[in-house]
Amino acid sequence: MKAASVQRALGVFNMLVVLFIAAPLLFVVAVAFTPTERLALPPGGQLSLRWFEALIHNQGFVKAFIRSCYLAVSAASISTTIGVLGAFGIVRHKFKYRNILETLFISPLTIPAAVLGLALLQFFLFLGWYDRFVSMLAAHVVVTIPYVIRVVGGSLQGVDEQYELAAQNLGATWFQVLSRVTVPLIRTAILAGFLFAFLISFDNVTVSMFVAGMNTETLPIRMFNHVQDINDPLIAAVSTALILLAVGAVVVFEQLLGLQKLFRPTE
Amino acid sequence: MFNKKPNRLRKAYAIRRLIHFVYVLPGVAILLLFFVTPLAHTLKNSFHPFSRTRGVDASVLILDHYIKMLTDPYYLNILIRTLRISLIVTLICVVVGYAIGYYLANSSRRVQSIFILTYLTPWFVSIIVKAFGWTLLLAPHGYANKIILWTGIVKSPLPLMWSELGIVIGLVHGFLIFAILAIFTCLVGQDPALRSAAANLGASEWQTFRKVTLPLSLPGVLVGSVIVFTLSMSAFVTPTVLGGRRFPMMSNLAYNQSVVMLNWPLGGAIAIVLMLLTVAVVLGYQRLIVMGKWKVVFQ
Repeated sequence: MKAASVQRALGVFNMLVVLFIAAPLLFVVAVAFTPTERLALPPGGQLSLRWFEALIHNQGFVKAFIRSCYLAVSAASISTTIGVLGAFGIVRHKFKYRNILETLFISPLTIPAAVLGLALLQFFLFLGWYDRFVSMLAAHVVVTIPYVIRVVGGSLQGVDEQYELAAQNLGATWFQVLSRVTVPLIRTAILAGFLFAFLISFDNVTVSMFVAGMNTETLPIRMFNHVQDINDPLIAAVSTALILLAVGAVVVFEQLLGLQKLFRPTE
Repeated sequence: MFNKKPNRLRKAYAIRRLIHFVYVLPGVAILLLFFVTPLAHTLKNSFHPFSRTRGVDASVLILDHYIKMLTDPYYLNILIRTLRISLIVTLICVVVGYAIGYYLANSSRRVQSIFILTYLTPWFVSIIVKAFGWTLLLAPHGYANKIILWTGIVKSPLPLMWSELGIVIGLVHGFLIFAILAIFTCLVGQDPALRSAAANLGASEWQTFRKVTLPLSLPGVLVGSVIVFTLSMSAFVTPTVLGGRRFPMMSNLAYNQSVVMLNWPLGGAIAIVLMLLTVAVVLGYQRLIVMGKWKVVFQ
């Protein structure tokens, strides 16, 4: 077979895979606009916003949403601060134990989420911290740190250390070096790391499923429980809102970092 | 040469080193407290006996939970199911991901960016939304079954959901992007001159692919399969929603034993086995990079 016809055949295959990837999400969005009581496509193209209205008036979902936002902002702020400092230390410094440190910072990403969730829950029960905001916060900080380290560390590697040394040589204190030289140079990466951490925390289900209790139920957990118990289009309305959030996130990341650039070797 | 550095500079370097060390401390403290300690605690607990009436007996150390995990057919079955599903998902993702990665690597930059973004978007969508979307399609009266029944191939709805097939579909949907990205980056980084050289030397297109492009893209295939495999091994939400109660995977088992049955030692042992398996795969893959017959490719 000629290369051109292979490429054409793969092009058709690619469209089929796109369809496979998009299908469940498109159905979710379509069902969210149904005027009926049941989970079904809007009959005869009659669209309705009733389930979005029901969503705004559903105390459980609104509360869980606010809690999730609050938690994700707090967790992302803490893990960005810790992660930026950590990435700085790991990338700039040639410690003896640098590899061990790097592994430690990345490992919450490598071990299965359920293992981390189970270990944290058991630990919090032991401490008497069950169902507290602070335990959810600690869990989400641990979960999000690797992402900040990856994004910020990657960017920091591209910044020449000479700038920092020059500033130091010119008499800048360590704090001035950090706040006037390094942080401005990697500003975009820090912002991207924060947004990444926010999204990871906001969407986290598995670890939260273990750690959360009645008073710390986040939006994804509320959705999970709802999906298990009740079958109404309310869940489709929440999901549509989250899909919009994801599309927005991709646009923002693309503007900030150029997402595809991340996955393309430099030319 | 380096030990002739002026004194002042050497002092500055020493201060820098100290500051870098201090920067790492908050992260290390948080991870030691909320990551290493909980795991160590779970590991220790997994060696203690448990009884329904007396709870965990911390004075005795036993291996019973691990023996039970690895010999009792019920638990062993779930372990084997988890491995089987993960292998199938990895295989599908690598084959499909290779086709897509190959197509994109040979496309214009515009096509590349459009489709990479298209494939990336669902990754930012919560896994619970994706799982819910699949229930709309795969349920006995879902849209996929409606279409299949309409074509008349089968008379009754297929068990697309609450089956291993449903789990596989959901996991492939969730993790395909990682295989695509790993293979695409590897293929797009190849020097096009290599292919022209092969063609100049008289290789057919198929030979060029088999002898040049494919071997050089193996690192991407390996990275992609390790990511997909470990993610599948630890899947939790997808098997719960799409597999139902009858088809639990390891994470579900760990959840049921600990959170539902409150048997922390056994739940912990299941979690530790799952973690060791995952870590073994990652380490084995790193080994493969350092040595073995593909060593040349990875250099």
